[in-house]
Amino acid sequence: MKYPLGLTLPVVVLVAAACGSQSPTPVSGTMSVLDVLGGDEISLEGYDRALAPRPFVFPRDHSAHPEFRSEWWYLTGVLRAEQAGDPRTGTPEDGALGRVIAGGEQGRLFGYQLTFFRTSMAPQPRGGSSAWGTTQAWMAHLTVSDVGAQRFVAAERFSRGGPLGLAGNRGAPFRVWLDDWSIHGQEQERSARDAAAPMVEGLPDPKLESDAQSSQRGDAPFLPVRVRAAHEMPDGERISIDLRLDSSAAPVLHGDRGHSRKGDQPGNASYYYSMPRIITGGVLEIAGESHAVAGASWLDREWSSGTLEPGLAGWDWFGLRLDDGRDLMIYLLRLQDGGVHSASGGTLVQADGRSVRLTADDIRVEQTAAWTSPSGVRYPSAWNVDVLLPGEDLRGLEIRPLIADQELRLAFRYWEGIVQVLQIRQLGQVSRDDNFVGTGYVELTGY
Amino acid sequence: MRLAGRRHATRQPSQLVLAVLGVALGVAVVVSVDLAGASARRGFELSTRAVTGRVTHQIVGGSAGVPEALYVRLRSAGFRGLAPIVDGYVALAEATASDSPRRGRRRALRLIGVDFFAEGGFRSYLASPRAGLTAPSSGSIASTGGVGASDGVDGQGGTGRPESAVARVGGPSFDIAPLLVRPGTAMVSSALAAELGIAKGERIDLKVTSGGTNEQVEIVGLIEPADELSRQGLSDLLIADIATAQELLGQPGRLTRIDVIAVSESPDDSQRPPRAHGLRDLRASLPSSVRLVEAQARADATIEMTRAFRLNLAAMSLLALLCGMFLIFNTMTFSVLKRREVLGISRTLGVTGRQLFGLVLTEALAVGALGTVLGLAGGIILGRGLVGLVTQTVNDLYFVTSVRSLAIPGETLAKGAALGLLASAVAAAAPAWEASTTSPRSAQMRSHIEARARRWAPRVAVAGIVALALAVLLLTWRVTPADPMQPRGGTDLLLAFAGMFALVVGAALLAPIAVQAATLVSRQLPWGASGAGAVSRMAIRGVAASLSRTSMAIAALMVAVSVIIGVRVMVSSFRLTLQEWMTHTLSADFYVAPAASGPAGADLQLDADFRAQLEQLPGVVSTLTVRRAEVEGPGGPTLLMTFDLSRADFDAYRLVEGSRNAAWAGLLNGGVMISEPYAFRHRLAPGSVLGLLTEAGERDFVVAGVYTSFATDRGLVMMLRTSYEQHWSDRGISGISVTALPDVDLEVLGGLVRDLFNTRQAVNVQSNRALREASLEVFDRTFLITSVLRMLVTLVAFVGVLSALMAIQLERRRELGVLRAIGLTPGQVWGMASLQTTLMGLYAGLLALPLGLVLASLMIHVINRRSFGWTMQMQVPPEALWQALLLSIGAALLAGLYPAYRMGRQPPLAALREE
Repeated sequence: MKYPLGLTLPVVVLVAAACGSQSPTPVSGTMSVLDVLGGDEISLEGYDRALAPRPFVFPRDHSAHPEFRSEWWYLTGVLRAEQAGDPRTGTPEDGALGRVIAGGEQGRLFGYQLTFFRTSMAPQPRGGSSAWGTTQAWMAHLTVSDVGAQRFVAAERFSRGGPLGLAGNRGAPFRVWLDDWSIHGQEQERSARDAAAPMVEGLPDPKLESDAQSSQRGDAPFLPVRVRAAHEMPDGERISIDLRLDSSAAPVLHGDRGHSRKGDQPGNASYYYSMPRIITGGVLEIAGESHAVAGASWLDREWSSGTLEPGLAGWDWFGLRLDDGRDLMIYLLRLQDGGVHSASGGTLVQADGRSVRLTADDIRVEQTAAWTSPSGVRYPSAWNVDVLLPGEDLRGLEIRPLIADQELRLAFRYWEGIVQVLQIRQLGQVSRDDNFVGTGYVELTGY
Repeated sequence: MRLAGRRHATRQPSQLVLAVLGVALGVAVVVSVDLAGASARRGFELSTRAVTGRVTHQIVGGSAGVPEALYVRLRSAGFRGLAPIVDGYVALAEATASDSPRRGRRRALRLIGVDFFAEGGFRSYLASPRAGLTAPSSGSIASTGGVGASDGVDGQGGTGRPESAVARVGGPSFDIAPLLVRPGTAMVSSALAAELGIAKGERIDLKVTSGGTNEQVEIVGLIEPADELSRQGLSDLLIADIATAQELLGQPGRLTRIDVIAVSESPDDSQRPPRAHGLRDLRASLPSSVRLVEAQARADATIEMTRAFRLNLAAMSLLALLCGMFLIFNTMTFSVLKRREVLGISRTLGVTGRQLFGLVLTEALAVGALGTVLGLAGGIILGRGLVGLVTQTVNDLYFVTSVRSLAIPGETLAKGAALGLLASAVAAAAPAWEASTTSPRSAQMRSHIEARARRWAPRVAVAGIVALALAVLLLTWRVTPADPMQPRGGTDLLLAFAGMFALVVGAALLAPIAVQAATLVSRQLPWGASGAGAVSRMAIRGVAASLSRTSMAIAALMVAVSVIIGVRVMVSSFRLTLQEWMTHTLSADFYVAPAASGPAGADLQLDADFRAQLEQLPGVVSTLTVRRAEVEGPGGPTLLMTFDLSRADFDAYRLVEGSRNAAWAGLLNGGVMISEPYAFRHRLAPGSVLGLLTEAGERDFVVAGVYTSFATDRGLVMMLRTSYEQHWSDRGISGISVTALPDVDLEVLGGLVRDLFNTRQAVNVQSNRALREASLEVFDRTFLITSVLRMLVTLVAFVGVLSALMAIQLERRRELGVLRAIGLTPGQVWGMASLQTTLMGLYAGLLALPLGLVLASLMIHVINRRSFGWTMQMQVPPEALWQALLLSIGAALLAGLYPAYRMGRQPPLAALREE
């Protein structure tokens, strides 16, 4: 999420074709991030680069930026099955989640990921008379994690974009889709949104950023949206999500006013914002059962024309929602020699909406366990995280996957899954429930 | 006993060699024809497999294909396992068609437009772990999963990456970006690129369909087929992105079809929860203008089109084997005759008749086995020659296929071997029986056998008559398939061939008695009775005296010559009928069509506004457009011809069934005319209802009449343009005919017409005469293989005559020795022998004339009708008859030269000393 991995989508697409995306995905044909990010050989001439901070304009920036090479809409969410006959009541994201995890007394816990990747194969339009003609390629990933059953299912889709409408993005009403997978705003909400003036969030002074954002809290313009995706496995099992993403705080701009550096070279950066806590409810289906669910989703939006710099092996990304209302995003650009690149960092969003930029020096992440996937790849499987900002109490955070195997063994192979956050508190340590401080998603690439 | 047999064999090698040769030739012809047919079929299957891959079903529409919006709708409804295809033919421009075998005939390539994003799992060459696909701009990245995502603009893709990263990747990948982001780009197989002499990054000129002049296509990638099968399947394919294919073929908004990989719904799936998007749901989601069909059934239907053609070839080849059987019969009879003393002594010594039967049969089988082995080898060699001819015909008439190598299925070889051995055994049965039943005493008398042969002639004739009766029965017996939707013809055609074989066998069995009759007649003739003297009398009687062998040689020659007559009369009748039909039907002065050689049904279009411009040209009276479209009819794709006919134009059509006025009224009412082959295949008649898939779903069309058309044996459906436009939105034009004022200089006008087009679109402007000539050229090419087979049959018959004459010569050594001893000069002996062979040729030729005409009539009125549904007038060119007679005599004379020379040269003493 913090890196434009969709950059080399065409290659990924063909590898997928080679393996036959219809069949159970063979591990041997999948690729790791290094296999597809060819670094300096890729010509970026003709594309816009994320060279400096820019003004963000919403809702416009929720839609695609085709002048950049790659872009994504990245939704992950932690959902809990509701009590029967009690649809969408109660507050999600309350402290009860810990008890859910520990005892399951309030129903099963689920995670989902739905991502749309857009890649431009050429900076100039193709031309020609065919509606199939396009330079835009799309890929989408859907995963469902069933913590109670310790199951994880992943699926992928590919398509071209272009005027034909197989995949793409529209602004009003908002819609991003690939085949039958989509995030779309409802028709009736459009008129209300159209009436409102576009909200400008481009802020020249970073000091004012958090104040401006808090003023927008709770009413991001493209919400609510409906999120729908379904996939039938070769064995006939269906996974599906049909969710309504209702409301959120205003987008959080990462890095320097949304300009997020990914390396030493000036163009190796992206424009990056998140909506870390979108109230979510709906229906989720896995293992032949439908569940009414409620919880919170995290939207990551990123676009860039960068490449993976030499020496980089991949990245780890943490998107954590703490029960006290704070959100923590951390990305680590891992070096091939085992170290961490200095452009790594993150953002801490306070409960009141103010966000604080974290540099590499503000974060300490220690890997405490490892897990070897069926494809033979060794991933870290537990971390201790400290945020070293003065005055912050975010120390001794322990992050653990809620399901060990959440590896997406698709054309593009990576690990992305639901995690819990524990904190060994200094005082009053009574039970494991009390150690639970949040949930989130972690992404691991380049392993 | 066996030893005696072997000794005998080694003493008479020439006889054995000829028998082996006869079987070998017969088997070789059968095997080669089968191989050629199988190869053409395999070529088609391979290219079908390359194109359809793992596709189980296809969504097809009519001439308009499938709207692309339907595909989008199905995808967004969640259907998976779908791949859109735009499929069509393009022609290589002359400049690049360096291998073009004939001037003016351009090589057709099949252009397949695919959506690479939807291709996962569909086509092996696009996604096989072994199929290395190389991208032009980033070098070879096959099997490395290399970077490949070159931007497609500067062509500088990258390959250099850490080795460790490369090693992790198992699957292949190639860079599709250039195909997607640049219009006018395509991939070909590396073999085709080599053949055309083009490299990656080079452009080839293509003549394509509507909307433009020559298009240039840049070859941006080469496909390296993983194996020979893929290589063959890809040999004429141009693979492009679907957008490029739509643009090149002028089909915006349109797909040729949607390929479907359906998950098998086997019975044991019933335990599972119902699949959300099964085949049934898919079918239910389709509009009525398209149809979901099984891919395999469709490919089979295409191959089925060539069935009659291949069956005809097979029948011809079996005739060659029949002639080979005569040789075996001849050789074994001769060997029994030669060993009459040995056989007689054996009988005296207590060897049973059964043992002798077995002996002769074993010998025959040994000869047959040797011949069969040689024949199989020869058949493979011959097949290599024939496959080109067969493929050419298939390309001319049915579909584009290319055969790069001869397929040698074991099944064909086994079939050939079985046929060779069986034929040997059957042919040797009579001599073997002869050997086993003769008494010990009579076996020693040579004359006994001859006497018996003469005595038997009537009995053999009776068998012949029985065979003829069987032939009549077989030819009149019709099997009507139970399912009226099944195209008919298959079983009836086989019966007809069986009947024809019975006829030929019957005629051959009647040959001995006919020879006897002819001898009697000859004796009465003045030159036979006294005039020419003793030598000619001896020659005439000699033929009848050695009836056991001469009759067989004569029968073999007769069969061959009659086949020659029959086929020749049939072909020339066909040709004349075709010419007459063209004269009648082709009344315009010029015909304009897109320039490309393609199969019947290739969907090529002309620019629509050409018509108006043509009519502006000075001297042009009228123009007529034709739209040739492939629509879904009963049993699959149906050729639909649409004309904007006037009543006067309509009157040029020749009706087979239905009245002219009623037919015209029916056409005006939205009905259709169907060509004779179509009526035959689908058992339709005026008043029948024909269901065609229109854009608004299946519609019934009333058959207004059946008309004569030799355009294609698939059959045609014809309707007025107004009716067509009611049901289809297609407004394309496949061709325009131009009629000029009577006093216009056609050369000048032709030039004007050409000038009009040449700057805009690659078209063929053919004059009436040129079109007829071109049609006849295709016709002649089609029958080229027939004449090759005819020659092969003659060759086998020739060997038969040679064998019979050698036998006579060997047998009559003593007699000739006596003649020489009493004063006949070698010249006189030679003359006598030559006269004898001439007589045999004459008899064979004379007997072949009626048989040949009957065969011709059968081929025209029964075989052709049941194969293709065509009616034609039988016209017998006189030269066909006398040339056949000359051929018969000539062949006999030629075959007799060497034996006669031997007879003449033989020293009298040596011959006399033999016993």
